[in-house]
Amino acid sequence: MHFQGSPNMAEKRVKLISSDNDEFEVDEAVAFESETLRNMIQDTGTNVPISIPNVSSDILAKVLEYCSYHAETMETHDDKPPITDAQIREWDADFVDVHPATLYSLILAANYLNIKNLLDLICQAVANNIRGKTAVEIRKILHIQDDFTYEEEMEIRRETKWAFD
Amino acid sequence: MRWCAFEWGGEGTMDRQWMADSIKFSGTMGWLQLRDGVQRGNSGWSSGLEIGYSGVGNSVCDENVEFLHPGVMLEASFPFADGSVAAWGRRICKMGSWRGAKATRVDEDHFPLLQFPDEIIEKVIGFLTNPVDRNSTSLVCTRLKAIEGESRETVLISNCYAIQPGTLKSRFPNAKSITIKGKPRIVDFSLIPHAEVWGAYATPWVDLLKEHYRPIRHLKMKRMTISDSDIKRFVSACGYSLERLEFEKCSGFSTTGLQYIAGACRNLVVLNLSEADILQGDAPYWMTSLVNTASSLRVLDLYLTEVEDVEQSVLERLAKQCHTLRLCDALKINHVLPVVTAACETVRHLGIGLSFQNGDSPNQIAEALGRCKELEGISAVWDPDEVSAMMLMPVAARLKTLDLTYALLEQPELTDLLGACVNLEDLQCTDVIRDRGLLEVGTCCKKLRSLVVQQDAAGFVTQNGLTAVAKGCFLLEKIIIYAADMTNEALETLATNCPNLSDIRICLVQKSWSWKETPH
Repeated sequence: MHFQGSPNMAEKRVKLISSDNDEFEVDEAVAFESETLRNMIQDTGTNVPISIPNVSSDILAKVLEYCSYHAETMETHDDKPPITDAQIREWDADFVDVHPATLYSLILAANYLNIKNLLDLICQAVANNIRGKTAVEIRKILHIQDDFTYEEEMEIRRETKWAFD
Repeated sequence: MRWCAFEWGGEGTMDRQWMADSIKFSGTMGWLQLRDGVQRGNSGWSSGLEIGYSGVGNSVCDENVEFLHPGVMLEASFPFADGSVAAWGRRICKMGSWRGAKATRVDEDHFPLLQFPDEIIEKVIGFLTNPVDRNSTSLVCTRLKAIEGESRETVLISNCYAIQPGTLKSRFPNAKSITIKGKPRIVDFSLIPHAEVWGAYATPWVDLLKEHYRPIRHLKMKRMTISDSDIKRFVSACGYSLERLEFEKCSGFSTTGLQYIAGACRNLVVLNLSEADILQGDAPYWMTSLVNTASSLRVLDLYLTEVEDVEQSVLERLAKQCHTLRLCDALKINHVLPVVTAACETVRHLGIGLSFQNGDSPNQIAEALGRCKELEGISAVWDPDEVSAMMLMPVAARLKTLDLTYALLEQPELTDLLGACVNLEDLQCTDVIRDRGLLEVGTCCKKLRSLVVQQDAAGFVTQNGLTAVAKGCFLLEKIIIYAADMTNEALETLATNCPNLSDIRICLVQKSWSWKETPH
């Protein structure tokens, strides 16, 4: 027999299980940063651990770090000055300053868990990497193979030069 | 961790080796076939794949690839034995456009953007707002080109002769803001013989826009020939969604066409007809209709047009609702004072012809200008009169933009006025300003970012004026100057002192007024 809810709403905890079976316990407010988790929790309550089969523990830890920081910025404390937007931006910039492979896994996780702000943050970071680069440089950065035929590429370049630039 | 990347390959096949165990597809409707190159060679179709549509689990191993509806989203996720997952997705944009997928292995130390579903790539590209970046992105590979093209909302066609209208549709089908430029700039200087045969007709573009670009928010055409019937067909199809309409330096249409705009564009915020050649049509009172229909109008630009016959009450209503109002010289305003008074609450940029054949006292107008609390820009089309310069004095210190090209002001009023414009960022004038005026600009207008000194037979500007500006206006980003003389030292001073300068045009004017442009 499970009892739904706890006497103190503020202390509700949620258990999450990563793909490699590590267990994480966080405040409900932190989990609510994820739209997917919010829907699941509203469906099943907080007593049942939620398994997240396609996010590994190191990535889940990162995601939850993001969620708890941002859940915290929403709270107001009488004894502490509120966190400024500039501080949040700095923290975010630091957060996405990671290895590309981590960034990649974070996007998948943020997409699956539906954390819009995190997804935006990482996509913006990827865009920042591309900004100001030529097509050849972008191919190099993202290891993308040029699949245009010579004629196709010349045609796009011609169009761009005369029409869309 | 291992990665699996999916790219576009040959027609309807997966022709690269991949090691995934299962694949999942979802969409609203459609068929898909995949070939598993590892286990069955190039001819076999994998039965180990899970393919689903709209949450309905399904295995499809048919020979033909066919998507019944545009907009179908296909997603594939590949769980590996070690627990890692790669995902792939593609939105079908039109029937028959699917070209199959191939999977390749990718090293783990870089960012495999192409593995993501279109939505995520679109989000990444969405953060690239500079068209230069967007153009680079679309040159990377076919998939990025497709996603970039489908998601680009703002398109500039800098030369309407360079592409067929159909190219716009096939490459940027979802554009909401389109700028099309027609004849080259030198047409303005009558340097092209028979410029009229250049045409730059709007008709084929209008046909395309009304058919495929609904809704469209912004259309700008520059130096194009637009007929009244073009306007009629365009606004009757697209007018409801149009927020900004600009026919800059265009010709071929009359007040009849403008009446169509006034009737159909209920949500218009910006109407720019600056320097357009407007013919006499059978609707002289189109502006009355406009102000009645488009209550959302905030910018009306009739700079250097030939618009006449506007009722005083219409002008006052426009002044009340617009934050930018540039009226033309041809518009003989009987009473300027009520117009300026009506503009007091809202207007940020005011261009208005002032002449003093009527009873308004210059003092009252100066006072009314002073009461325009948002005012920060003036385009002056004024009589040569020291009184005009005096009227601007109360607001000079807060002006950010000032266009004196057609103000016909002379020295020393001009210099006095400029000395008071300490917050000026954008100044346009003619060489009537002389070196003396530019010295004043260099001394007082420290925030100047853009300076345009057009040619006028009356005056001279030389290297001395340019040097004076370069020694004072360190924030300059753009400078266009018609000078009678120029030295390397002056250009060097400019280059050394103004690090943000990115747009430079210096034209040498000879006293016989034949001129040639120096290399940029």
